[in-house]
Amino acid sequence: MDLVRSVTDYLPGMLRAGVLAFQITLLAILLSWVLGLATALMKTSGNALLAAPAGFYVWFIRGTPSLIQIFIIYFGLPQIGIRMSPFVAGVVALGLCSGAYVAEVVRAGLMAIPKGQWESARAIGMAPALLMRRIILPQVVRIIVPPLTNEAINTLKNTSLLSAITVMELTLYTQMAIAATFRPFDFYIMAALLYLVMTTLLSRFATWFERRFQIH
Amino acid sequence: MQEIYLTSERQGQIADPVMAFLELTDVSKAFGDRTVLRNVSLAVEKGEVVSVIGASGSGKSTLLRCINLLEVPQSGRLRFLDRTIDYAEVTRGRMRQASYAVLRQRIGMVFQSFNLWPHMTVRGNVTEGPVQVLGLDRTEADARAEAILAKVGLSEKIDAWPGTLSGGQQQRVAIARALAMRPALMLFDEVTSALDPEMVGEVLDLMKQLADEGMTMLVVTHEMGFARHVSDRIAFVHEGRIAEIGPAEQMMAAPRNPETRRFLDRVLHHT
Ligand SMILES: Nc1ncnc2c1ncn2[C@@H]1O[C@H](COP(=O)(O)OP(=O)(O)OP(=O)(O)O)[C@@H](O)[C@H]1O
Ligand SMILES: [Mg+2]
Repeated sequence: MDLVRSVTDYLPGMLRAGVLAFQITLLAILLSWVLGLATALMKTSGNALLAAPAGFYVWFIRGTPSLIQIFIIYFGLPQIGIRMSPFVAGVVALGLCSGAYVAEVVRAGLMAIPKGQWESARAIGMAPALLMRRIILPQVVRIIVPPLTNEAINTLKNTSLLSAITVMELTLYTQMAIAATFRPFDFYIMAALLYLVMTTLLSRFATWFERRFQIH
Repeated sequence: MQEIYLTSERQGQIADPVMAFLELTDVSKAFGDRTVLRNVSLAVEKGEVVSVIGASGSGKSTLLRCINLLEVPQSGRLRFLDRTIDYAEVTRGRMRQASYAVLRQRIGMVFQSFNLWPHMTVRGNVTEGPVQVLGLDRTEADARAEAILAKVGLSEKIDAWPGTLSGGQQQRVAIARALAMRPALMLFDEVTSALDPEMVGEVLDLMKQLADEGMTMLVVTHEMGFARHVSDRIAFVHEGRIAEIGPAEQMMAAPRNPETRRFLDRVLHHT
């Protein structure tokens, strides 16, 4: 059986490529949260010197294709002396790309917290950083879990774009398997199933998190 | 019991006030080109309860919020305990964050909309300030929270979430949260206005109890019964000025300012 043979031959490689995609996703998500939180705080700081670069970043990322951003990082930056491995370039590019969307999600979350929450915390003597950490962000996190889950899933799916910069992730590996076996249907379906497993894992985790930290 | 709320957190740092306990001098506040407070001066003695009344939009909340710097007036001075704050300096950004904190730790504020923190239980709400701001350890803060919740009659709700409480209960938790900081002054901004009528009493009773224990209180209210019977003095705010201030009984029975009379006629006879 051709199908069975090609599956058994390539399944370990497919799984490895899937794990790589998942690793890149997790690192890019972490980066995007840090960037997104910082950007959102800068944009809402009321300080033009902070808000302007944050605004530019969001505007640039949201207005350009992800693939172009990836190419700028991997092919463009070496021209000015910044060289990264495909893996690192992939994490950085996807993190930067997603960070802009995370920033908008966090900003919307911050604006959804009633003014009274800030005021009661200030009135008790909390300094801004403490207030943000203890009162505001814990509430924001609960609000933004669903949109952040969407964004995480987008990032995972965007890892397939990294096939264009030679990251041996699931999509590129699948294409190589197809080139060797001429079985596009089998392998694309298998790749799709693996992506589905990973996206489902992400959203399951988000659901668990939401339940666990529900506000009563 | 009274002692708790009047002593300083760090003993000995606060000089016994010879002059008024709280003193606002020539406070003016504008939002954009809209002037909301016009040269307001007000002195409050230690242990005194002053009710602030006046029409909607007259500047009552703004006046209260200037005291703990939730709003910063363009000019005027605030003297409270042993420190004096020149508002103009604050506007210019000359005040350090630590100074805000020191002032606010000593001033409790209760809002119309409770503003409890929904991601924390009642215990969490009441211990948050003592632990995070005053640096108490958990056990101490817990003991304090338990004592104060007993006082406001909510011992059995200590592990409840704010969202499961009635409005009256939430507001009493908000008062407990403020008291847990052991403030020297309490500010109340229409704290019963968002409550169902049957819950107004429990909150007013608690405020009366605090007043009887000697708490210094500044109370913006539409509850004329409270203003008359619980407060020592009533201040009537009209268009950003304290148009009249005097002993509660006299203000209610024989106001001198025609605007005060007009306002009282309206609220006492047409509600
Ligand atoms: N942050 C703000 N920005 C702009 N205008 C404000 C702000 N806060 C208050 N004002 C205006 O200042 C005026 C006084 O407001 P304030 O809340 O002090 O009135 P109030 O006497 O407490 O009224 P109410 O009884 O309705 O609570 C109002 O006209 C209000 O619209
Ligand atoms: Mg008001």
